[in-house]
Amino acid sequence: MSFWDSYEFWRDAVLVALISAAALSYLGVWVALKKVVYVPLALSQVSAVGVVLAFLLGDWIGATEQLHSEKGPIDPAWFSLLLAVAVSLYFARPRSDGGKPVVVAYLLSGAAVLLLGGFLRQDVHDVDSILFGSAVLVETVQILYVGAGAMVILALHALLYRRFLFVSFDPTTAGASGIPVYGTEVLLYGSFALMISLATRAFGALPAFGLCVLPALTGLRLGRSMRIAFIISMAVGLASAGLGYYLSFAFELSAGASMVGLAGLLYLVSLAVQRRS
Amino acid sequence: MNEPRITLNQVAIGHGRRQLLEPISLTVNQGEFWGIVGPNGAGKTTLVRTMIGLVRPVSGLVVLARPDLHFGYVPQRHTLNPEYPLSAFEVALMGRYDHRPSGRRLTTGDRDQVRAALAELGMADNADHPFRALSGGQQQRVLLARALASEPDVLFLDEPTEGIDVPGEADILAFLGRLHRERGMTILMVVHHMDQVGGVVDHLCLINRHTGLFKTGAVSELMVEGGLSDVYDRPVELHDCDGWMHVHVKDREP
Repeated sequence: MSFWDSYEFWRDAVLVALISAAALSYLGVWVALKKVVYVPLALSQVSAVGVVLAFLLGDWIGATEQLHSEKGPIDPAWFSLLLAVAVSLYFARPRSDGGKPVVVAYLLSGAAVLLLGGFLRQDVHDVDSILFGSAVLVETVQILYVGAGAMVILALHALLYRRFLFVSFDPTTAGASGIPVYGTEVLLYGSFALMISLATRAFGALPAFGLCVLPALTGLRLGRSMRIAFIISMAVGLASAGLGYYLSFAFELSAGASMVGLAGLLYLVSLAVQRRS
Repeated sequence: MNEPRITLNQVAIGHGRRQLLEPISLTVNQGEFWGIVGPNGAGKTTLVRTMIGLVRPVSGLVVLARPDLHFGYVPQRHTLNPEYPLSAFEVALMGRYDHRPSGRRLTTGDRDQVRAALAELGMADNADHPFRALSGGQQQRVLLARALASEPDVLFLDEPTEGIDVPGEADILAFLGRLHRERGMTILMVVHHMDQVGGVVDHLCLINRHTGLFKTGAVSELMVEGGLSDVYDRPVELHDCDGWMHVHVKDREP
């Protein structure tokens, strides 16, 4: 069966990948400029703890089946989102500790997933796929979640772009001119948490982290202005997601790895292009 | 003149509950030009941030002339991330951000004001250049233009001549002197070296948290060898060169 003949099979997955890639590669420019590239990694790991906690709660109240059902009232995504947003409030605080809490959060979350996972009931056999999604097959409801998340980020950043820029570039002067620095940082980090947790749940931790960081690095390397950096980053993110999925289908590769591999390749090309120019 | 702009009333500066100095009192009046002088880690930046409201005092009260008193701030240049792909104009334009609510577009008037501020500092021709590609002195001028474009009531500068060559330093100090004389702007400038401020400021605030020093007053009162020795905790000699006082900090006597 050709790629186009199996449209019904991959439509939802590609849609989720493209929406996520567009939002993540936009946010990634902020992540890279703020030099907090480990934050998305830690947030995706924290999101995983949220999912495990959701299952433990499901076991406890006897609602595990509902966690697995698309139509169920409890979706683990809400738990992961809640936990990621809560942790991002802490990350948003001004600090001079070189990002140690981010690394600690990553390590502790990783340990918590493994330790708490041991208490889950035996019949929860697909926690891994729920934890880290699947870039190949996604539930239809994930399109709704990821799409809604992307719309929230679009609206928030359209409204507060200047504040985000001022506070990120020069927080002290922004504060002196009356801008609430911590509140602005909370909204910015909250938008990272929102998209990272939704994308991790929908199509996996590796592509969510990879498409947040690599396209942004390419955009910042080639872009001579913020606008161009955003455009290049999003173009690379979309191309990596779409072409990566196609390559994974055509050559029977891992979809997430293909997307990240392509984004990495484009970054290496940007290094070569910049050296020559 | 002599209209208080900022008053510190028995304020203990510090971080959290950690107090850096015994409680201090200070009044900055309209049109005064203050030099805040002390060695590294003396508490100068904490004092300024407390005045602006960025750091909460451990105790005491900071009183502003009015609640909407507008501060211009020129940060230490090295605290900025040079990787932002911003032009000099875009950096200076940030000075107008708080004049327009979120979601509202900046106006042609805002842009004209920023261009005028850049031109005043001799940066009109560099407006479209990447900020990160400018020299230290040029970047400092852009940051100063940004502060002026914000139409401040009080201008704060945190070590504005740090890492700048001698001609660049002289240009910035001369500009600040003109700003004070011609527009009567209230200015507070943090510096390490007395040499940099003696000729332009009219008031001094000497601070050294390591020795517990905090003295304020007119330059004529404090620019004396005995007084300055306390700042640097070592002997100091003053040399008058055509009205510009040079400060020579000597080695500690054995």
